Amino acid sequence: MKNNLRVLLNGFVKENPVFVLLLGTCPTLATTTSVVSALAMGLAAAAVLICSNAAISLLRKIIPDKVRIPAYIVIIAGFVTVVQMLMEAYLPSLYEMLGVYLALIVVNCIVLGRAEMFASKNTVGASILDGAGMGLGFTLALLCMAIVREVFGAGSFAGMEIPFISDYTVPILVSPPGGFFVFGVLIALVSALGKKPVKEEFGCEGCPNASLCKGECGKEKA
Amino acid sequence: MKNGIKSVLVLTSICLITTLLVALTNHFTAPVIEKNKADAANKSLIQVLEGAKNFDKLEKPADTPESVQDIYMETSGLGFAVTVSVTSSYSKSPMLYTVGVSSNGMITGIVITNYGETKDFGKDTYPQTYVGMDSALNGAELVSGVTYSSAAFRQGVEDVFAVLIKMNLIQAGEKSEEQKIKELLDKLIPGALNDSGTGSFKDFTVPDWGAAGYEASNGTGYILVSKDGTVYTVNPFGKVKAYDTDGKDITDTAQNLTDAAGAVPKLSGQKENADTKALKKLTGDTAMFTAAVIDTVSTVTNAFVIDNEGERLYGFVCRPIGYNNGTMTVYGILDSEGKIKEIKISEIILYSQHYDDYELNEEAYTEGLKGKDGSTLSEEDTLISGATISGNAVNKALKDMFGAYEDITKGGNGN
Repeated sequence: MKNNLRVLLNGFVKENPVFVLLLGTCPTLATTTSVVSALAMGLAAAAVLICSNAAISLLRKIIPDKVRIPAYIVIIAGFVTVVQMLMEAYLPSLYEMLGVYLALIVVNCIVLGRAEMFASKNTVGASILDGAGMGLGFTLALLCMAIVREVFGAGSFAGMEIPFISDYTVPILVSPPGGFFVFGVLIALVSALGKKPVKEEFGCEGCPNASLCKGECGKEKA
Repeated sequence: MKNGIKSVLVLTSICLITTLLVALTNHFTAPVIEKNKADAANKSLIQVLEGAKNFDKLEKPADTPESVQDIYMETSGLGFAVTVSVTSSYSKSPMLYTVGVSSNGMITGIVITNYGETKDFGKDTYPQTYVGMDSALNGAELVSGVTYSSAAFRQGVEDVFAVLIKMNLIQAGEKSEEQKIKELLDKLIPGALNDSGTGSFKDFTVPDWGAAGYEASNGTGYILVSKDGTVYTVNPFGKVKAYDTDGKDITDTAQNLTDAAGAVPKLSGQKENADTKALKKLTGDTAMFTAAVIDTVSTVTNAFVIDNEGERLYGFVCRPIGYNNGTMTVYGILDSEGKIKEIKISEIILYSQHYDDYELNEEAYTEGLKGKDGSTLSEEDTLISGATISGNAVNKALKDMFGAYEDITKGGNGN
């Protein structure tokens, strides 16, 4: 149970696909100009991740090693097409909003990466949890970026104008250079937060001055 | 071998299962998607024709303009909705819009469903200026600075009316005298037209007998309209012609021909000016220039017969409209057989003011034009990759130059 929870939560921060593994940069930069499109893209990718991980895990013992990559691509493309059709039918405005980036989920490194790294080696249940964790982690990352870019770049949240902030927007944030800037800042932030302090230990072994100071150099002087 | 067969079978099976999954999804979603599309299209139809409920799609006539996509008739007889797709030189994607026309031939509404132009002509406001107009489109102005996109838009609306009138669904609107004259400007002074076929004119002060005056922004001609409605054209060589408001040539019976010629500055024929100096750079200072007179109205603004130490040459200055409606200047020297001997093109784009990274080997470009005459010059010769509008302008200027050469040598105006 604990292990399952760890698999699920891995994708949120520790192995966040966007800010830690640096995968899926293209849709991250393209769809984070608005919170709605970021959320839609994240959830669409998560759905594909969960389904493709489940299918690939289920077939992992049947698919020969030689044709595993084409097989994964066919499976992923199939699920992306299904998601695309469902969105076009039932969420047409979101479908229009995401445009070509919805179809580009097929070549999203996160999906193929998890298929190759996790689903092909683990059980169906664990793979579904991994897909859900990675998908939600991807969604969370997109959401964070979109909030910064839309709120401060356009002065709105999910299309609703925010009083005061809308008068002092930084329009470059919603443009591609602004996207790269926010992306870089958030990567640095996640990296700084996730870093564990390393206890530095000194020893005299191998030090050329050891015979002279006799281990006194590391000690604090009064 | 066994592994190979297994791989093929597994991959084929996965493809088949995936296809089945996609087909199954398509089976359920296709009708919904179709309905969504029909609703979206219907929505724009209803938006442009207030009170409309249902539409019947009509069959398009055989020679319908390409821009007209579909024609719908409101079932209760309120009017028509026509979907249009147009492109301009600045289109990233086709401009799609729906035009509503009432049964008495007035525009009831226009909704743009896709706008992919590089500059916004006011997509929410500009189309509304057409509402209430009939097929005459009296008062439909182009948007300054976004002329290509707004001209394409206007052309689409004209096409809508053309097809509805052709199908006898509405009556044509009556054009005003002023409108007829403005349309004549483009026909009578073709040298002022830009690459999209729109003329660039400015008003100028007319004498007492005149009602209006228009000057081509590139100096290729003037139009004076007398108070009795006669339209006079004066080319840069002072040659005058007269037309009625329907464009019929009435030069023989018009009364103010001499006054019209005197009312505008004569641009050509000066012995020493910037044009002759520029041409002398191509021929050499010793060349003797004699001003020539051209009857036609084109991009040619100056013409000379040149005696270059016994060799007879012809010098022309053309001013076509180029990129961003700027005036280009093309200086050309033709030999006695009408072939290009020397050519110099001065134009904004060649100075990299607009494109920092734009590079054109002007020398190689002009060298490629030398030796060409009216029968051998092709569009490929003048094409400038990445600067099509400028290339087209050069082509137009050279064709006019060859025409002017014919005018001088065959028409006997080379005195």
